[in-house]
Amino acid sequence: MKRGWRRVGRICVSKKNWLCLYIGVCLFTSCNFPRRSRYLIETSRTEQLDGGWPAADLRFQETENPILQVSYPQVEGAEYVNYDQLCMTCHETYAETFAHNIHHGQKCEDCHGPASIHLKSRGKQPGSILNFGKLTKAERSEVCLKCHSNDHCEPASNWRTSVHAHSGVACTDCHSAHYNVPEGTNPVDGKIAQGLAEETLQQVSYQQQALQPARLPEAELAIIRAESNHLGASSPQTCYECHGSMAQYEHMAHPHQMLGDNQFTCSTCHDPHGNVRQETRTDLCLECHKDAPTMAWHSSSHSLAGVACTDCHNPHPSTFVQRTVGIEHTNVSRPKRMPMAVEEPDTCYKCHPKVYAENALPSHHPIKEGKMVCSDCHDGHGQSEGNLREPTLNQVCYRCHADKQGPFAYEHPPVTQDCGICHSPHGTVTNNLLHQPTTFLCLRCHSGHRVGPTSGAHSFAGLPDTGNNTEMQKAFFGDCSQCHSHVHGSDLPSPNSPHTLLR
Amino acid sequence: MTGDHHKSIWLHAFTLIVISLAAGLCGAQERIAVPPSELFGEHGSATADGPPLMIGSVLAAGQWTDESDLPPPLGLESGLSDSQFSDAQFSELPRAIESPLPTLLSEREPTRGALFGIPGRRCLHCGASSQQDGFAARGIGVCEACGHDVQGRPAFGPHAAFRLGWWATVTDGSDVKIGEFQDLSSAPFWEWDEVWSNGARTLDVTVAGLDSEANDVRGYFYGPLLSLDVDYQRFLRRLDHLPPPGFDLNSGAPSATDKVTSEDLNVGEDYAIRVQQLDTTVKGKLGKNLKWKVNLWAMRKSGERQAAAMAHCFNVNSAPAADFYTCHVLSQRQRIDWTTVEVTPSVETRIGRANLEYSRSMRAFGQNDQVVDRTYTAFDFSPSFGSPGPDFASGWVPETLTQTDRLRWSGPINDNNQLYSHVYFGNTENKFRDTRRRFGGLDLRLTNRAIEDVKLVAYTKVDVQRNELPSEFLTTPPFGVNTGSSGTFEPSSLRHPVDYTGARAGIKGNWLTPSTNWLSATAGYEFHELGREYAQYDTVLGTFAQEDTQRHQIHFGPYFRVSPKVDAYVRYKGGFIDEPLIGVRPADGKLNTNQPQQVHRIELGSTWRPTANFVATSMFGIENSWHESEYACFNEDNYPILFTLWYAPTPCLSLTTGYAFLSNWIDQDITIGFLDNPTESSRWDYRGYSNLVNGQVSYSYTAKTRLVGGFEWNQGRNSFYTPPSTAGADWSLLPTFSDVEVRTTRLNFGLDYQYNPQWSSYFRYSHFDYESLASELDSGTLDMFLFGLLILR
Repeated sequence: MKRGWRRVGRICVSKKNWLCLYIGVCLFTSCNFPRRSRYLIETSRTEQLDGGWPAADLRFQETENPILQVSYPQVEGAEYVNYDQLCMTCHETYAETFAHNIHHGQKCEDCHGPASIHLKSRGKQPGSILNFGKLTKAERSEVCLKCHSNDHCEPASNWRTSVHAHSGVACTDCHSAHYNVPEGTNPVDGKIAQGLAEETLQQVSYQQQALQPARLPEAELAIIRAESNHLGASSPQTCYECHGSMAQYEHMAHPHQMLGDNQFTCSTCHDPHGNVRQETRTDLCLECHKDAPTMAWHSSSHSLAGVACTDCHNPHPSTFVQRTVGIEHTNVSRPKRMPMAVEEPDTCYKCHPKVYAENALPSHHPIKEGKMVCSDCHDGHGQSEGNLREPTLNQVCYRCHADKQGPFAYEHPPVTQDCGICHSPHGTVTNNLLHQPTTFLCLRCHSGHRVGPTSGAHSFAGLPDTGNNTEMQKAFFGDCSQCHSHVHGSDLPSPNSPHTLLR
Repeated sequence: MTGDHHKSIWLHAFTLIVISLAAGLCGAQERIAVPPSELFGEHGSATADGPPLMIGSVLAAGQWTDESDLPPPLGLESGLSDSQFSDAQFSELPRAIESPLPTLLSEREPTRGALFGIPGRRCLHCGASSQQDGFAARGIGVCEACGHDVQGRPAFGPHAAFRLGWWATVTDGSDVKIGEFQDLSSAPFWEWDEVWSNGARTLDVTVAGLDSEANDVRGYFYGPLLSLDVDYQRFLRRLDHLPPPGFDLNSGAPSATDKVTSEDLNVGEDYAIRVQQLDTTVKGKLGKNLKWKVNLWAMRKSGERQAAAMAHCFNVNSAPAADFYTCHVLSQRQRIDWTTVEVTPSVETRIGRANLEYSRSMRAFGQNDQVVDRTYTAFDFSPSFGSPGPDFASGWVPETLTQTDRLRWSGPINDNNQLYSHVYFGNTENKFRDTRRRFGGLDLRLTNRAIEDVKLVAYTKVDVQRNELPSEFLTTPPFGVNTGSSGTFEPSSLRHPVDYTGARAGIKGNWLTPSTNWLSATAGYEFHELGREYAQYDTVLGTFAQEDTQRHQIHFGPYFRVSPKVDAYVRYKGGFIDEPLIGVRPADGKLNTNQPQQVHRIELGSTWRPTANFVATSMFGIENSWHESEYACFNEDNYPILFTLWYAPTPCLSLTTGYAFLSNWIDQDITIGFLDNPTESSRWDYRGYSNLVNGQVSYSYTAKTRLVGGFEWNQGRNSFYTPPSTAGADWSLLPTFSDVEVRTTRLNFGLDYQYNPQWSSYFRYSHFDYESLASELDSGTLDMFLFGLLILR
């Protein structure tokens, strides 16, 4: 060994090599070093387990929350004064901010309750007015819902059962009732104001429209929403206030990029005011994704079974590399990063746990080894029968097993009809994904050899009777494919009888 | 298939990809707005106080570099502020923007982290209190303690990882089953994993070396004009080496009763092939309503496999001299090299409200195999008995070329009806025999949603397959036979392949209870006919003509939401089949089949999720099928049972387990016999089952330490039992020759430890035991240890 070299296992390494390695590691780690002060090992709750049985989920992911309703907050003993000018003597700011507010024309007491005591005490008596800062979240929303559960602002009619409401969010967490919309302000949904695309208009208001019939023409509703500027709630910025992780999608170029080329915002897909039914969840996606591969979605078996796009596709996968991943000898299972990625095969196993069990059997396609995924054979969008990628099962198999495709001069009819007659592609105990061991499987269709003394053209004179000879039984009933090795078909004639697939 | 065809397809594919990439890069150059370095880290670290905001702060840093750019705050009265903010905080928030907003991006306001500000609320991810940690300090709503938002999603993270480690392996026994898809030698493990984006283009790359024989390369590029998805992997696939049946000629001279002899020319060898697969998709837009896509898929399998060829009546060493009817099986090694290349360009357009897609897939399968051969000395393969004839090739795989044109169309007919149609036609050419299989079909579906909460689909589908006889014949060795009795071999022995015409029509639909979703149901009916031509088989007992198969199939299944926490479903599918496929043995005219006349399947299942951290599922099925006709008589039952459970008692601990019992019970009349020889048909009892138990745990012991562990135990058995013979035979040992009984046990344990935000180490231990109780040929044990380092940035 040369001087200055060191042996590491079977490799000799010089000091120069060590230096290069050190510099490389330093360069790799020094670029954009995140100066996080805390360690970030992911906890297990939101992680996919390494190799475990995938946790199933409720089929309908949207929860059916009960109606959340609290009693309307009251100011005891107070009476309505009905005179906003008095309010403005102290709260003069709102005279200006209400100039272009959608609530312009509403009275202060409509939201803040009867103000007689408040005015008499000049605001010094606590509890004399409905102070939103002191109301509970539900009470705050209740005040808004007094009008908005049943008027042109339809979204609020679904609020009481929404996830947001049940998570402790109040209307005023996103909206400001006093929000000023200066004249000439571009509406949040700028394209609508410009009267651009009907499609865009549909997207923005799709969910509300789907939930219940609009009481105003859709265009008029959209204009109202645009002019109100959503009372300060602008997607996606307002959404980031709680859903901070979503901000990453602004900076990751992809088809659903937030504020990207396609001008996606949170509200393009989400309705923060309520839940959407599964049909609606699918239709929302199909508003844009009418083309391949979703052309046949409505007639697919998944669609009829009530599966929605978001049951399989994750619109919000992480855009980061993972700190902890499932490492196996032949597989590293990393969560998919790009939006709308499907975590195969785990996503499929959630509804098809039996397939998971079959794939764990000794003979299986290398799915658990990470070499294949379900979509190598299946198309979940139903473009072909049985959710297969091709019109027939055989055409699916021929892609990877082209050696068995033929057409052969000497064929085996079940092979050309349906591979599934003999094979179970998800996994079996017997070798080669066969339903049963070859002996029994073959004997189910073909009679077994029993040779012995006889005469005639097909005689096997000289061969002992298999019924009384153990060695002959081993030979003829051990594994049929040892002799009939070309059971999938052959181009070469077999000895004796050309069709016997022996060669 | 010649090499020229391969070159041609590769050349086309390469040209398409180069053109696509060039187009994408040209477009990309026009759109570069943000330098790549501004993506994550630098913006993140640009914030003056607090930890860097890798994503969330990018926009803030880019748009509002100066405080003076912020719109002036309004002087809102503190008494009306939200409860989660102090008066001072609230007054600093600009709740209204006075000036017109130039772009949507500049509408960003400093944010409040509203939900995290609720008194008493704790972070779902780390449990930190909102009051203690001040969730809104970053400007977006994430937990200051762990960087996750209200849904537990991480808002910040690394964008590159490099893993390096070493697998140490210890094996015992056969490698075939314990290393079916992996190399078992100790080897380095490495992985580079990076995601990069500048807001206009994204590149997501993963390159891994898993063992000495396995690599995985995945790349995804998204740009303004095109996206590219590349997936390449290579891995090892071990193949079984089965000892040929009968008397082993290598053990000496056969006796007079050893009528089946075998030669295994590579005893002790294990076979394996190496698989390489490339899957690349490039797609882009040519206009608002015109899209294109090219998929290149290629697979290469190369290595060695067992090639067996069987000859009747091979007289070995003239022994036993008087009995020339000795069957001989020759097993030998064959080097194979198969390459499949498929290129599928497609174009898609929108015409009005309809979408149209045309694609053409061209798949070439080529081989460069070692030609193996053997000699025959009788039954028409040799000049005369007892003297070896010429070499005859065996194990031959033909090269093929498959081309398929597809046209899909979908669109609404009116507000309530949508039509989907798929027409395809193509052919497969066997280059060796110069024969073709032509196929085509039509799939037509009409979806109706006229009735509220009901969806109906009426459909019809036709698949046609036509074949032809070879026009050239094999009449000389090594492929054909130039001697023998006339009529036994080509051309007169060739039988026209079976032609198929499959047609199905049906209606199916679902119904969902309005607004509440507590009940849904699906149902359907389908008629299917499979017509066959040239399905006549000459047997010694006459001609058997396979009739066309008709099947009536119904299915229905209600699905209940018993409560918000419990789902349950029942499914039934039944099939009634006339004239299923019958198996024929022309030599004795015996018929039988494994295809049923009736199939019934019932499945019951439920999901129970009482809390957000507990899910339990169960499934029980009954599958029964049978056939009772003049040709066959069997009864087949399956009873799948399945339970799964997931429970996360704490945010740091996750447990999952499952149990599955799969079974297959068959009683069938099986015939053994030959013409006037003792022929016996008796009812065999087949039992197949497997038990699978699986468990896994993941535990974050500390913020730096994570533990994973699990086990999987599987026991499977396929066996059959024969009744006592009524014809003087002894079949008692017969089941033992093909029984399968396998037990596999997997154990795994893992430990991740994070030294600092950039450096982590991991340890993995994996144990796999494959025990073949029936043959003991494939048993083996594998222990694997991995220690490695992870570097993040």
